[in-house]
Amino acid sequence: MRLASQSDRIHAAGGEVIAISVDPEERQAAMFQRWPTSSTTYVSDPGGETYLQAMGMFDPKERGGIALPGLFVLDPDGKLVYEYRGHDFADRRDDEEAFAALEGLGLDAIEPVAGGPVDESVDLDQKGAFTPRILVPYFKGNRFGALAIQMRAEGEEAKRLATEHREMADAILAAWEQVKPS
Amino acid sequence: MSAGNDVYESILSLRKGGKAVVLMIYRGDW
Repeated sequence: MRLASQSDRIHAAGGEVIAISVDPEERQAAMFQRWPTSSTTYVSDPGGETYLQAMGMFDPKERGGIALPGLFVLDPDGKLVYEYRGHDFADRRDDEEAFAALEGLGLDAIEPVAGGPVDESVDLDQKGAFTPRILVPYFKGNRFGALAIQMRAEGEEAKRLATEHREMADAILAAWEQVKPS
Repeated sequence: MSAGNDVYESILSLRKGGKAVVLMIYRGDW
């Protein structure tokens, strides 16, 4: 959602967004139809066999194998100019460093691309596709939990981690305010 | 060339008009 809120900036810097997960294409088609991510291309990698394992972004131990969250920027030659590898399911960093790496490439702007997959007959109520309806309560719950831990924690590291988690939730809630359908 | 480079070249081939790629890996399976 944070990337979707910055899509104009990404296109202005010559970038396009590709999102990979282990979800089947049908579930990604439901995601694409539900969420305001019209220029994101969702790519299905079941079992992580094509991309995720080779990138070291696959955890075979959880839920029979699932992606670890991460954010990368590839230059036009396929060289990594930014990488952030999340350590667990909720580990997501502020995106500003990624944008700085993208803009540092000095590329010409592109027209917004048409994302996908597009399948208008897809079942939008299928299990497993995160819905806009639950985004706000989900991340508000995250925020309040992190706030409580931030107040209770005694160690500096625990306080820092709780603060980072609260800031992550705040950033996603703020991004949603920008991109949510009116 | 390492396997890592190969996978990034494969990802570049998924582009639909962009020059660079902002690649998000998300968990899915909600």
